[in-house]
Amino acid sequence: MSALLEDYAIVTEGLTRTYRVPKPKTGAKTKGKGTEFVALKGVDLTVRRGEIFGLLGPNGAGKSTLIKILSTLLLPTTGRAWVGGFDVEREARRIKPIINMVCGGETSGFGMLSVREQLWMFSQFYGLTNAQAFEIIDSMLETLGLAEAAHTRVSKLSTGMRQKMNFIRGFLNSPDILFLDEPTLGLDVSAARAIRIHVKGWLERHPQKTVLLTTHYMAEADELCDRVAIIDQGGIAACDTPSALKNRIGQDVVLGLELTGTEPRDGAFAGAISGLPGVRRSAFHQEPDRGTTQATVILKDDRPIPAVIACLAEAGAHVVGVHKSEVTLEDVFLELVGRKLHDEGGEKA
Amino acid sequence: MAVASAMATMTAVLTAAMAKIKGNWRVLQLSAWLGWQLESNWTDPLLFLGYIFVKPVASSLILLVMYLVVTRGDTTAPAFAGMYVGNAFFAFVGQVMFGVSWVIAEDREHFATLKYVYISRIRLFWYLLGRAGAKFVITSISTAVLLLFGRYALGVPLHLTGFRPLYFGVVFGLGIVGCVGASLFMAGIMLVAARNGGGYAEGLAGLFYLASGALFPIDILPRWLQGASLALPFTYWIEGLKRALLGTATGARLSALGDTGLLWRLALGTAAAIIVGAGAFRLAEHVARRRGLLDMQTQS
Repeated sequence: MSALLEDYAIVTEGLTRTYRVPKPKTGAKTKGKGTEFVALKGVDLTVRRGEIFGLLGPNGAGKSTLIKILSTLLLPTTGRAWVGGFDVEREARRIKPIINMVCGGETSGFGMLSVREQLWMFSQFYGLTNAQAFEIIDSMLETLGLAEAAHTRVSKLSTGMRQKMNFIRGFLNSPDILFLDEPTLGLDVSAARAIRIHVKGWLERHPQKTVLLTTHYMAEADELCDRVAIIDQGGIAACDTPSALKNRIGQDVVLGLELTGTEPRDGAFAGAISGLPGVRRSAFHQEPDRGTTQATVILKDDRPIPAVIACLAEAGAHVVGVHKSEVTLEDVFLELVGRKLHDEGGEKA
Repeated sequence: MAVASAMATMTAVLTAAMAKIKGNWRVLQLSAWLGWQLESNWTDPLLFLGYIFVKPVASSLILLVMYLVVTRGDTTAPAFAGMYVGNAFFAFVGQVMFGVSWVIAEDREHFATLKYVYISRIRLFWYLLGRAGAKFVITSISTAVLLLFGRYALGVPLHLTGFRPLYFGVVFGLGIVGCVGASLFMAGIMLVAARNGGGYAEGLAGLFYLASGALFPIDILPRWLQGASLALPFTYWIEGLKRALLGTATGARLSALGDTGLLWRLALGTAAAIIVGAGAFRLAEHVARRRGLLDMQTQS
């Protein structure tokens, strides 16, 4: 194990976390302690030093729970985890100086402080001198387009600006291991791109640093990550490089269809084509704004395409668009998990 | 050779200890600065200054009216002086205890920063002590205003001639340490409670207000509550402060204690408060981490 810990920034072994969900208060007396929710199920994971590792999965898959455990905020129910060679349960104090974390989609910050004050204060928690702190702060404020807001009170910032400020906070101590939990969630396209560029540049300048990124934006994972673990319902469904994952369905044909003119009947559509020879997986995603349903169908080869279109038409769908597409991590997710991972708000990365 | 090696080890240990003390001192300074910014920055400085002067004076006037209505006495009577001084200093218990426990709720749920403070390399313990420092400074200003207002506007017999600065300093210092102990205990409760857990601190402070003799001599309390009063360090603290400032003991039960005996009881009570408070906070920190409460958001 010790050799493993030297080579890897993060190691988990049978990591499990359960939460007790209290019974809803109904006014009447209830017996028992509520139900148990399993957020992580025996996760075994290794992340090499210098790697940018992605955890890809839908909301509630267990990504944030894993990051909370690794960043010392939460104890596992069973199993063990090591960060930077230190045990998260017994050696949390030795982990803290070498890590940092950024969570997207939240508006944290002391509202009464200015952006620069807030960042300076956190830099002091990590023992930086004022000169070191302001060098990092000012340069990152500039890079992320926040320089003009440096002296603005945090309470006056927009959600996106606050998120950028917190992103900067995550880099203040130049952590050996950085946890990025959905860092671009809710950001506009250009801000998300600036963040991705910064992460890539930072890793190029510091090749020994490690980043664990959780996201449900497939393109983000594809663009940034050396390796990706697909996580669903608390378990790791697959773990490999993005290209190796895509090669798993490399010979398959990914067919995209745009359906219109009917009320949403995804279940009926899926049922209609599921039995066709050559159809491996299918997923339907409604787009109410456009009044259409987008279908993704994974086929063994080209041959079933006419049958698929005919079957959908029989089920009441009007097929208004058909295209074959490149295999994406989204398709890998569909292949492995059996359903599509939808973007839920925010940037369509 | 052995001596040189021992010296080197000792030097290394001392250097590490000094670095740790320096680091913790820095955290205290920073979080006290943060506390001050959060306490004082909500309005312009002039309005804030007015607030810290007007608030204690208004509360003293409420006390004055209640006293005059109930006793039909006058403000120069020793009973009023004891009540006034007790009330003025009790603000430290209420403000520091409630304030520090509220830091947990505010940082965790309102500012959503507690988790980032927690995962940084500082100890939450020192961070909270620093925030308590900011509360202490503001309460000190309010208490000083209150005492001056009492002396010069209401005629409370606070005479410098009878003032015992050394005794006052020792009693005051011990009591503040006791307040910190109680604050840590309540901060621990808040760590494992939801946002509305702030009510526990307020409730406990109210109980201490009644039982510590801040308002009435403890002799008039029911016997069972007198027992609780005598177990509280704040009872000896308030009594010691009254003796140091007014020169007289209050009530039969506490008058039986000499100044030194009172100081010993205060010291023991303070030590117990710190040990229990720090222990409870440490335990609560572990429970909060086990239950995933360090970044909890109370459902509303």
